[in-house]
Amino acid sequence: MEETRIILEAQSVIKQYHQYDAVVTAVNRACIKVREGEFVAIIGSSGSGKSTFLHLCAGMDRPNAGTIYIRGNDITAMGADELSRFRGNYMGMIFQNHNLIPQFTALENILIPTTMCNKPDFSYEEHLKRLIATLGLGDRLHHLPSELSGGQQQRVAIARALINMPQVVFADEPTGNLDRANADEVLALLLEIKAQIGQTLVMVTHDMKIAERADRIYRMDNGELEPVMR
Amino acid sequence: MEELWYKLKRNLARSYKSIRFNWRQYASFFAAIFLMQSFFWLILLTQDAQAEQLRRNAEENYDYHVAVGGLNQDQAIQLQNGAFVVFLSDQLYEIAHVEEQPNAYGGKSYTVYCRITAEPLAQKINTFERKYLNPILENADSPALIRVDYSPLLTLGDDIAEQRTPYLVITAIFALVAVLVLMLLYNIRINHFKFLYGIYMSFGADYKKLLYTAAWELITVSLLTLGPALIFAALVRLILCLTLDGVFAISLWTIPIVFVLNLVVIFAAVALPMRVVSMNRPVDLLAAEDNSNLVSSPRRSFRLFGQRFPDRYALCSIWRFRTYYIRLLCSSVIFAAISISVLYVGTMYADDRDADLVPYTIEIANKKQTIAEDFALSVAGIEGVDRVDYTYNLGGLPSREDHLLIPTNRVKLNASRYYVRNEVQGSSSSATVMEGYRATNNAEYTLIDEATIASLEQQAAASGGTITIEGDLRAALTTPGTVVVSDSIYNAQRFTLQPGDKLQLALYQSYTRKIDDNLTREKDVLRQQLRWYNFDYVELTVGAVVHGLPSARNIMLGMSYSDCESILGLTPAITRIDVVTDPTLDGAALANIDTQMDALFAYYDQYVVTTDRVYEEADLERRMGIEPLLTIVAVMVLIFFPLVCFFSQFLFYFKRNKEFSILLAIGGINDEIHRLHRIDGVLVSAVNFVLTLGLSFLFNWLVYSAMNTWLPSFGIVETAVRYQYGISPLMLILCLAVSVACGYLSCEIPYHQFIARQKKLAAQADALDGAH
Repeated sequence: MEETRIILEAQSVIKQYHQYDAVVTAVNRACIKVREGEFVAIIGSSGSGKSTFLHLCAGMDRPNAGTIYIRGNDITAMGADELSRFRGNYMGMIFQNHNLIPQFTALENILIPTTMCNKPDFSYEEHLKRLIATLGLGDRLHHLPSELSGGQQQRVAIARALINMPQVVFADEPTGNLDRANADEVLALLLEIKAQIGQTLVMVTHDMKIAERADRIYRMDNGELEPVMR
Repeated sequence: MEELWYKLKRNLARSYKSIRFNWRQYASFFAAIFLMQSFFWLILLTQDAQAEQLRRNAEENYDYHVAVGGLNQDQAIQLQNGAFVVFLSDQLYEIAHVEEQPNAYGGKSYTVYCRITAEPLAQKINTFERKYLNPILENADSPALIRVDYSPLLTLGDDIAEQRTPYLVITAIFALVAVLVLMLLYNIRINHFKFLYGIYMSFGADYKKLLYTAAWELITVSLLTLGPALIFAALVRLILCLTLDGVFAISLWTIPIVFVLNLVVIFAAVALPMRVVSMNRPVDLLAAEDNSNLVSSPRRSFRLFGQRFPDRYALCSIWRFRTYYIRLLCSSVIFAAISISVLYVGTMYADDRDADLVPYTIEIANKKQTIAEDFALSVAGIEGVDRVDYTYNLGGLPSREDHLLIPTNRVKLNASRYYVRNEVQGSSSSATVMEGYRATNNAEYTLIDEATIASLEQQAAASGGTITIEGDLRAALTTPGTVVVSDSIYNAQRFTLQPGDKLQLALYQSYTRKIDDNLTREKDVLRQQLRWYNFDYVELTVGAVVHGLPSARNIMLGMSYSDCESILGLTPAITRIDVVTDPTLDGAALANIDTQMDALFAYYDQYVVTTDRVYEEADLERRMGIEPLLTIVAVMVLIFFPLVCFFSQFLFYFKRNKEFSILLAIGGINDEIHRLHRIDGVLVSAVNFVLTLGLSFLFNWLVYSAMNTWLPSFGIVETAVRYQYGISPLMLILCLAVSVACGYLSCEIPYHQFIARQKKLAAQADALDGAH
């Protein structure tokens, strides 16, 4: 592989929760390095801490210890506002259960990141058209999420994650709620857009078939992250 | 500028769209902002009306700027001559009219009314004083007898500025309440829509973005309600004007002021909640898609009498959400309590306005002399004068360096600021006598004679039970060494004195060492006096106690004429007369009193009268309709109660629909869901009832104590006025009814909404089945 710069680097990341009197370690000294344009899959059983780790890398949560660098910026040292702005500009997030806002239409949901980052109205028009065409959402844009199928909802969520052209996209089991056919279709679309734009993709999944399509695979087991040799 | 306009339009369009499509979510904000704006309009329109009324009163009732009275003929002519000039452009003032009254020496006393004709008034009145008035005063035998009265026509600008102050204070207080209401509502919204903010933050929204998004939404709401609120407020004001013979006015400044107030309140209300949201981690906000963030402790229950509670699902649900319910109930019930307190303030205001008025205060020109008794009797005899209150030359105990010893068991806990224990006594006499007593110098000598007794009895009779007299007031006249005392300082009872109690009056004799001149606290001064002064002690017997007498910082220590002479070595004489009149007197009766007073002053020619335009002020206040306005405000504040309650409960139950659907799916029936809502409703109503009752009495007591005791004791209010503690039974019943109804209906209505939604879904499913 051509030598490219490291876009995500996590060093000894620890995340613990207090559950009544017990302390649960969800992520235990996890380390990872992801290069620009790479597709990295993180696999593991339910409750192994892979989603928590993804949320930490995406700046959606704060680790108890360790540092996380995105584009060379230590996001664990950022304040809440700075981190929000950084997330909006450089990161995209796809959730397992789509997390679309029920009272917004598909188009409004897609455009949330542009509004939150104060993007001028016409700056993303071309990109939006391309995304809509690629994802096949043209005739569903003015429908509410409740009027869309699971696959369509996930495609809206993908468009929302990509509308700001982020450098890193974090996907938390994006096909977890979909049947095989829909899952394959969504993954194919995601990889097609990734090929077009060249983003880095970090995906959490428990589906080995999907993981095998990644450049590298990591396994999360009891909060410990290990690379999987292929 | 173009970009600013574009951004403004874009933000407004986005917010408008968001509000239009989610209007149910914003309904409570519409109502709250409408009420807030209505109040701002009402208060500012009332202020505009008052300014206009002041202007009209001044222009219609006065044709002069300054009246100079008590002049002899030469002085009157001198002043009139000043008005005549060769060239009109040089004229400073003109004579409006001249009045003359006979005096005791067979001559005449003149009052010259001058109107300043040159501008600017403030500057020219100084020229008038310097060139024409001061020479007369400098050459007069008794300058103090020359009365100079400036008319409201001259002081109009200051009067209008002065009347703005209370409105500013009220506006500021209400702005705070409005911030509180909007903050509460926004917090409820945030609590129920944390997921939405989680998504916003996941995709780049920082605090600034969240703040502006929230503020723009509320600004859009406020722009939509601004006009209707103005129409509502103007209608209320117009009705008040028509019924109370007032005026209606609106200043051009009022519109931008309300708009700016509006913006300030909105930004203040959303700034903190949004700051708190922005500090959250998006992952936590996303997790609160349902009501899980409102659950206090899902696993825990409590044991009582060996039983585990709660044992039923319905009770379990209210226990699970107890923190949510406590917050909701406290935040909504507070408006019922505030509402009752606002009404109480209205009653206090009316009591204050309708209290006896003191339009004249009389003192003698030569401060070394005292007021002659026949003159005092003549004043008291004027037709229309209700009573006269005399101030004697006896003074307070500190002025003579005396103090009073009160039995320890008669001193209440709240009097600690006003007495000294016997911990520092130095002189042997103090040490012996102070055993079992507390020393205070917060007392004032008063002459007890038939006139004072009549005045006290009259006040007690008119007080409606606030002032009571225990014992025989006349015992002070018949038994030497018997006194009449009051027991309140700053309108709060500090001593539990009873007739027959023995007091020790410590009369200063000499000192062994001077006390520190730098001491400012009376208690510290008294401590040193006890240490280094020698006193003679006279035992006094309490003949009567006047409870509830309006009081400033001293209790009354009333003695007979002979006791004043024998104990204090002073011959009582009047130094001041307060002329008290009935507040319902009409203009003709007032004019009659005025004429008789003028004649009396001209005749005696040695007294100085200070006039206070209290009737004009009372009339102005009556026309402004502050009391009915406060009633309207009380009702408006009460409306916030259902607003907060229903808004929160509807959202809360809406998010529980899934839970109810699951219950139905696993075998539950509608009646069970209904019972759950009903049990919630009954419990919430019961807690609401108790909280409303408790908080209403607490708030009223706080307002009563603040106005009656705390504000006067901190010097914020100059004179202590005794208010009656009370709570409007009608308003209390209304508040209780609202609180019970809100409690029950806010749980009952969501059930019917749930059923309606279920039916709609079933109908849709049936329609689909039919189509297939």
